[in-house]
Amino acid sequence: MKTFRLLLRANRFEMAGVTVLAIAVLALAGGLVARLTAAGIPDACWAGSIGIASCGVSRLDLDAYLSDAGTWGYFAIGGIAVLPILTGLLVGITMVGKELDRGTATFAWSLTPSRRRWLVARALPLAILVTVVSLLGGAFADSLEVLRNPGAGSGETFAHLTTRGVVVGAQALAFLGLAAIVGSVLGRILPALLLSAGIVVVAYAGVAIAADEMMRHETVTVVDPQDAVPGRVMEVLYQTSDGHILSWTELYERYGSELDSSEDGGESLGLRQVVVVIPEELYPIAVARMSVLFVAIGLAGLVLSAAVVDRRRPL
Amino acid sequence: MDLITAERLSKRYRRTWALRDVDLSLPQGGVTALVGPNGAGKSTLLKLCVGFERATGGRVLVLGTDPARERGAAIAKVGYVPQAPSLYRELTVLQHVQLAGTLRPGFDAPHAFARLRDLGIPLPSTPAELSGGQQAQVSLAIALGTRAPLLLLDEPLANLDPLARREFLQVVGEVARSGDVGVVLASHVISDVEPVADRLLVLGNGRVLLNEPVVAGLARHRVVDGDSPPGAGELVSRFPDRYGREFQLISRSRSGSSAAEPDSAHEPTLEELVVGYLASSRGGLA
Repeated sequence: MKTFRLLLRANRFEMAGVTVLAIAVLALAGGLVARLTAAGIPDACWAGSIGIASCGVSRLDLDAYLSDAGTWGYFAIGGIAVLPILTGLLVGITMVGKELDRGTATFAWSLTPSRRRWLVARALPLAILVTVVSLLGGAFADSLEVLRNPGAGSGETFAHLTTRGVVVGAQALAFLGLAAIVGSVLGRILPALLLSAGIVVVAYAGVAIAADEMMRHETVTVVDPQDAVPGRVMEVLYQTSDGHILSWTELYERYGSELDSSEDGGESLGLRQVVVVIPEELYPIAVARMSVLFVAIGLAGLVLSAAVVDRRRPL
Repeated sequence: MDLITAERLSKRYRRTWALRDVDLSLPQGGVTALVGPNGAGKSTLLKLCVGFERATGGRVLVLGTDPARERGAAIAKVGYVPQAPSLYRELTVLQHVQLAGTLRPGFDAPHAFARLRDLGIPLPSTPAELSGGQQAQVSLAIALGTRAPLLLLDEPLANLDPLARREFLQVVGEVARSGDVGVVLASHVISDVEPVADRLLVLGNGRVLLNEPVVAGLARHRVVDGDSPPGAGELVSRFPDRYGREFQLISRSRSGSSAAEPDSAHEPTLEELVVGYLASSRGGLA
């Protein structure tokens, strides 16, 4: 406990910044969730045209709800999206990079018999702190997703998959690990911060693309609109009369001007619109997969950082 | 067991050799003054001892432990004070001692506090509120709190004013006299280390030029005028004094030659001894 207290004290400016950010974002998101929930708009109000359905709520109240969910929800979701990035980067850099930059690694490493233990003693509580704070944000974002899109299941559209739920906590760990390894190698705060930010963008995009690619292999092609399954629509394609499923470009190559002259959307050519969907049931798997990828990045960063710390000289 | 033993120890930074094939042994006890010009390899030697650097060749043992193989065990035997105090801006002196207690098993916080109290260093102060000398004293007090049998002081006097230097050396002298701790004090200013040095280790161009007790070293050498015959002994080097007059440093024959010494011969000062050996390493005057 004393170690953690001294660690916080030694990095008090970074910790104060992270705390203010976390409190602001969590208070905004938590307050908004409470406010929207307290509004008590019944689900019936969202069936059909908003405000027209007779659900016992005035149009004014519905408008106020939608206004809050839209404007404040936008800020809350935005804050939650940057929360793991900023906390992960700031705390990750302080873990080793700042110690090297300020020369205090000399103090610590000349005293501790084990640099790995030194790193674990600081990485563990900071990683837990950053992850828990971001998880809270992710939980609020999950609630906000439902409250901002009333009537839709939270996993139905896969919307904002990377900015809500446990993924947010996993991201914080990933960004912390990346900042820790970059800080360990560079040993300078500002260059490490800038490079880490660049790597975070690449990692963020990389994980999103990788998760998307994996999901593409689990899509369901729905031909008959009657069979439509709730989920994320990945593509809209066309089935030809001979049973082939083609994209619009392929279709155009095949039918050319015939398609242009068709006024019924290709029905006269025997074409039917089909949709490629990732079923709603796969949402928890997609979340778990993405979280595992981020956690793996974070742990790899911390392990590599430990290896660098073990070998490098203090500046 | 020796405090430090080096066997063909070498360290290269890219194309520059900081240490080259250094063999040395420093026996326990007292204060060893590690002197040499900037770039002689003093800091490198100490950093190798504390595991902050890895040798390019050979090895160094700290009280029998190789820091490259068993860094933890070697660190446990060493208290280290770097040239620039590496204190946390945000922590007070008190918190530094507490932090040292969490980092170092067996850290003797009361011992460190006693040192700081004796020196009148306010515990609630942050480094920014302390003078350079006080910051160096904090580093030294924490190094002493480790109760390590070897203190490595890497030019801690470099940025201190004369009074702070004197106070720092007073503590070092007291510690060494207690007999429990061996001290290696690096400096490129000979007058700094003269009051406390029991042993002299001169490095130049990454090599050991002289390694022996101060008293024996002074007794074994003579300084004669530049134009005098060297008499009995071996010419170490020719070197100028601060007024440009040339002198010769002579290493007296151990076999006790009966050849007469020149009239100008006198026992060197510590500075003459060091300068004489440094001149020999540069090769210009010898």
